[in-house]
Amino acid sequence: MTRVRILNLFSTILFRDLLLGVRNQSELVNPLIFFIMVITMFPLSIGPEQSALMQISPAIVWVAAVLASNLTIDGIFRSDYEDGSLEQMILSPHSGFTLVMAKILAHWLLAGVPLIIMVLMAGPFLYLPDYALQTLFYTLLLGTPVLSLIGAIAGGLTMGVRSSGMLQALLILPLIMPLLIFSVSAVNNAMKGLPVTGELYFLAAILVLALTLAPIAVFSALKIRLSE
Amino acid sequence: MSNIPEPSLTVNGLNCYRYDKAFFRGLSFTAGAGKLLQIEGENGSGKTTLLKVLCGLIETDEGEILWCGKSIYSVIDEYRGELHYLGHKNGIKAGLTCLENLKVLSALGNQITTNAYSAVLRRYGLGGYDNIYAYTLSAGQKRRLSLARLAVNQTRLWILDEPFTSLDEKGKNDMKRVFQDHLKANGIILLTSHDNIQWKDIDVTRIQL
Repeated sequence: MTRVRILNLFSTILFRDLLLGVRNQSELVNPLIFFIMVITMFPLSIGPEQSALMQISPAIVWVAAVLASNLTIDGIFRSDYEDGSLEQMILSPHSGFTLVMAKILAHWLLAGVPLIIMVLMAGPFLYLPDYALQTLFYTLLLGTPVLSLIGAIAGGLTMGVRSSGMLQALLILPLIMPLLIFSVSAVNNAMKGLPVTGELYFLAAILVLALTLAPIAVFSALKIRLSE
Repeated sequence: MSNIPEPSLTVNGLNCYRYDKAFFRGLSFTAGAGKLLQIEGENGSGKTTLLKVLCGLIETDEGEILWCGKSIYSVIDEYRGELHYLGHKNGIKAGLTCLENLKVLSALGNQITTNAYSAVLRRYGLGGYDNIYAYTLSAGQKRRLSLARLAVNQTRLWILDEPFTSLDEKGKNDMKRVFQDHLKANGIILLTSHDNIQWKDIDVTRIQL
């Protein structure tokens, strides 16, 4: 019975957040437009030489993805905090883990997945060979959930703080450096024809670590912020 | 249901210091089944803080809070299943319709008493608003929607922070009837209000902060 209720709660919160996200399209589309702008500006400013672009394009894609996801983390908890929904959620008798995971999954589906699709479409502009694009896809598939998980920690800690963008960036950037390093080196190796499994395993390990620890941190952050 | 003990909320010697200021010291009271307690105090005297402490959002510095004789922190999940808290903020999402809001709120709770959400909305004066977005509602209607939550999950303890804010006379009377039913069913209500509640058939215990 409790399991049914927890599943019901998980799906209700997930569905609620997806519904709100789809209804509030500007929040959904703005980061994507930002991402496209960054990606298109590089070929225009560097020049269309294939060799130069190929060398830096994995880095461009990843930096743009990190910055674009940075734009969205404020939205994970802020509006729920401001209208009191979060208070009601924290006071729910069900485990906070369920709530936090549902919210993070919704955020990934709304912010991470569109980004991945966008990269696949932008790949040809950046002269990425198929194998490198495939690797880039895997790194994003493993990496964007981590961005959502770590972003949720920063979002939870800074909700209700005015002009929190700088603070969020400071909290997030050190934590996602390993992600950036492994992802970009995986794609670079792929372009040289080297094996990339090592990097992908590391990324998967980072994802598992974030999945295990981030919800605890997020829930504690929410409790701290709500007790003020 | 008969083996469930009667609800009681006991507060013993509760102290609260926040922002280098003592809000209340040595606060003690007991709320038994069928009791309505009104917490009174000036602006800034710590009414909202007290309610947040009582529902476990803020941990106490000193003193104990007992639910049916056990510290609320030791039975926090069961306690929260028995509790409705309504704060200053309504907890309503502007981007959802009334019906969707009510469904989300009911999924958060434990004992879902009814699935007839439309009937609940009608009872709380929001008949016909099922598929209307909450951002189009007036402040009083939002408060009603927020209070409608009381009807969809069955809990024995209601902690309400200024429940009558922006309600009209009819709304207040509707709430009085809801309160009466809850008290008759052995529920407990704790509320803060600046109105001097004078209802001839409801016994109000006042606590001065």
